[in-house]
Amino acid sequence: MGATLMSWLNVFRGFPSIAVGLFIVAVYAVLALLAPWIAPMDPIKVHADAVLSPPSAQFLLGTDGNGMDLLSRIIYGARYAFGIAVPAVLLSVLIGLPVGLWAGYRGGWVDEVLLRSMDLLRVFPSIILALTIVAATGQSITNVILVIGLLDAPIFARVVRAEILALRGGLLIESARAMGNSTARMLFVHVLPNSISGALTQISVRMAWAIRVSATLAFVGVGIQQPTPEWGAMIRQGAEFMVTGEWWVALFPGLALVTLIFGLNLAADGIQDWMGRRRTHR
Amino acid sequence: MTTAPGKPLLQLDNVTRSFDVGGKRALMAVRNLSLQIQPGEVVGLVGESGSGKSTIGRMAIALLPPTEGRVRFDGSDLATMAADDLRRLRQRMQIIFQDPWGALNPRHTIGRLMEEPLLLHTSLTAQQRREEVVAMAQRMQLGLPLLERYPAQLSGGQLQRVCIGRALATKPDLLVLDEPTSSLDVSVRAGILQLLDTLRRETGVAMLFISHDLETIHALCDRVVVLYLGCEVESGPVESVFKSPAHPYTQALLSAQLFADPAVKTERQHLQGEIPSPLAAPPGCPFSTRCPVYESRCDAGLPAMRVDGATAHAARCIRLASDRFQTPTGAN
Amino acid sequence: MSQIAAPLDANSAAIGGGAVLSIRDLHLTFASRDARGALRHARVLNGVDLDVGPGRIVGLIGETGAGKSMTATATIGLLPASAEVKGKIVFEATDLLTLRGAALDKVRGARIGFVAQNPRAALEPVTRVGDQLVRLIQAHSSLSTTAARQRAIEILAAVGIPDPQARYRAYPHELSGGMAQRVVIAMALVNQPQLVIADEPTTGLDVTVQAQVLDLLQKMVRAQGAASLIITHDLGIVAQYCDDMAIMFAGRVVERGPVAQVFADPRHPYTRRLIAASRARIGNALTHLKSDPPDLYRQTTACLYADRCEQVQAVCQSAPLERSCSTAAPEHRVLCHLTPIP
Repeated sequence: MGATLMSWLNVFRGFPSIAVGLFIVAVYAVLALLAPWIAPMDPIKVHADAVLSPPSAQFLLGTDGNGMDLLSRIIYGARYAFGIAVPAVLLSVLIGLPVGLWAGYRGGWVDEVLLRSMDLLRVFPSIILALTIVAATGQSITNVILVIGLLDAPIFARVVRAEILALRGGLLIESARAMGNSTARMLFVHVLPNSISGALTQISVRMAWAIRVSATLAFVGVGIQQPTPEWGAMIRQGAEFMVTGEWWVALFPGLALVTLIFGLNLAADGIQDWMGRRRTHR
Repeated sequence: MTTAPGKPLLQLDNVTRSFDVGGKRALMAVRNLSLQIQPGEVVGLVGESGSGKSTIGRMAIALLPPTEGRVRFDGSDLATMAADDLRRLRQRMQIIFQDPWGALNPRHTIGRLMEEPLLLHTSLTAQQRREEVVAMAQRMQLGLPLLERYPAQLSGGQLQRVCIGRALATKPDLLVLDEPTSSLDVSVRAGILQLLDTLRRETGVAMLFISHDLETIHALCDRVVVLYLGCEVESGPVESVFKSPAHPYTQALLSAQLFADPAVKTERQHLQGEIPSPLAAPPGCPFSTRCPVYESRCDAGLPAMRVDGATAHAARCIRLASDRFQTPTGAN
Repeated sequence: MSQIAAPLDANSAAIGGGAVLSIRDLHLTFASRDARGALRHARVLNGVDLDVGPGRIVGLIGETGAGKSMTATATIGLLPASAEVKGKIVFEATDLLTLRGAALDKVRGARIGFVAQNPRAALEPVTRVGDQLVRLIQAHSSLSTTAARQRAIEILAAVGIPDPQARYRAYPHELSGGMAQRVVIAMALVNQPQLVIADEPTTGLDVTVQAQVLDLLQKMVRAQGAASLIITHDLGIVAQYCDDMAIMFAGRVVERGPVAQVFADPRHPYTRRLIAASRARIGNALTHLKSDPPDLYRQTTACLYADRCEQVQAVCQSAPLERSCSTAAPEHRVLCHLTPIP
């Protein structure tokens, strides 16, 4: 146990981006998990006498246009961030991984369909696509999760497919077959573990993306709306007040959003570097 | 040994392999090749790029099906076997690739890699498998601590020993070696070849040794088949072929060898040009574009194989002295 | 009882008189991080001494990790910024390690020609072969484009490319491996360099083509009176094409001298092992020896071959090697504690 801990610490030392990124994500995850115990107040409780009050001893980050405590809302907002990002990415992986596996290993019509759908997605900016679909089908959290999950699935499929194609160019698959592996065993024991490093990096990236998209949807007015303490919705409201000088209403949710996305991307970068290094050097 | 005496272990009959390269063009990697390996025999396949030697190696153990012709292992046609039977048959025929890093799963420990053939083909318990792996590692002169390491931590020579150990774990009848030492340093090569020679004498395994290095083939093989552009141009006992090569290509190949001895200078036969692309193979003799003794007759068609009955030394060249080299009746 | 060799005499430390290229005490270190993120230094070159005499073809031989390619890379000034280099590389009375920018560009391509290992990597894929030659010619001369083009076609013919006028307009991917390597040789020689460095010039080429390419290289180098440094792992190439040879192990030149002499009387245990391994393959008494590559991260000034050496003595593991090497014959030098003084 001590040895594993030491090796993890060494990884963090060599790749500080992983350490910093994961730390940030961990902080937010803790906030999300323990929100009811950490948040000083009820996030949707209206303090009618303290509407739009600046940061103070009572309201550490101030209150918004409805008189709700910003700090508590931001803490609860982490729940929405993870609550959307995690299921969405999980959905993407569950759909994308098998499709990518098949497309890469077998080729054929599955591969063609996958490639064409990737092309299609490249034509439409995905945010516009998400916007349109959510607007059309109803502004619920489930819809947001479904849309983001489905739109991201081809990315996971593509990443896995690329790694499998690279494997096929090498000797591993041939060697496994020559040894006497059945196709199923070869896929699960040899191919899959060696083609998911790209997907693992993407998880972090796509989570950042999912958070960003849901915030954008909320900001534009299509996704989650007030009084739900979702960061995008909060920024939407805060934008109006920037002009009149109540800067805290938009700034703090904005900072929370940016920091978490930054942390996720930083961790993703670090993981990618570490994976690349691991494969060649150990 | 499960084959009847006199019956070949591996038999390729008029095997052709072509690849579709788009349009109506086909790349003929192997053309009308026939080959036999007897139990316990070591046959060398020599050729340069485009010779088809790697393709033949893969067809021999059913990693690639022939486009025409048949590949038989111990009498059974590999192309018509049921998938499960073929999978089980693989314990009797194994392959060692040129690049040991590419062939091994980088995420498995050496111990797990060496255990895999036993896991797939035997019903030994975990404890028994472990004992077998340890014994094999010792035979391969691999230190036991290496069993806990990963492929990236071992050297090329050590990894190739791991691959040999894996291949021999199920006591196969046939071992195909595709340039097993080409990517290794010179000082490591000798050790691997010594190991192969020892194993061959101890286990009686038959080998198909594919290489472009003539000295290695000379040292290890009983018979040699020389390939050019997918065709067999010469074959026979190693001593006979190397001492008195009959085909102009074999002669050129032997003369192009560079000996690590400044006192030995071979008279170099200067070949013009390079190996033509397999897509644009010459109509007659494949060597006609570069042959120093080319004549117009050579374009007429693929020359027949002429055999010297006394030595079983054969070559495809129309200029061979017909008193010594006879065209066998009913030859292709 | 073998004697411990005498320390280097002052003369051999001086820059070799008359040599076209003189490398003295070249050290090269790379700093990097391992998979766990720890900092470590790879000592790629540990004090390389090498001379290339005028008009001589020198074979630099070693196995993977010996440092032979790095020696060439250092000589033509293509080391990455993270490399720490010390020592002297003297060419035409200048220390190449002190040159930068324009001064270095004047030497490369004109005074020193380079034949790379992989012709596909050396040639620009989007420019016609002839144009690449012309560009190289004009970079180092004041020839007009027409004259440069003429020169390019001449040299393409000289390297044995059939129909040079037509081939001038070919792109590198349209040429076969052997043809592409001939073009690379043409580029190395077109500006009449004093020194041609060839880094594994026949790797990946077929055996029959390899002989053609080496014959060509040797012929052209001799015709121009240039000196040449051929880097290879193949002792056959050294034996058949080189005048002098230098054997490298773990970043040091362990033995060097005229080819005939070194083959006839190899002094260093590693040289003997290499020669034996390159000849008879089976039944060789030396095959039972350990053959793991040397650990370049070890910090030591003693002999790095000691772990594998069948003649190892206590002094080999402890005494720094710098201070005790000897001269077997004036040009035949060995870096070993145990070589008796002649």
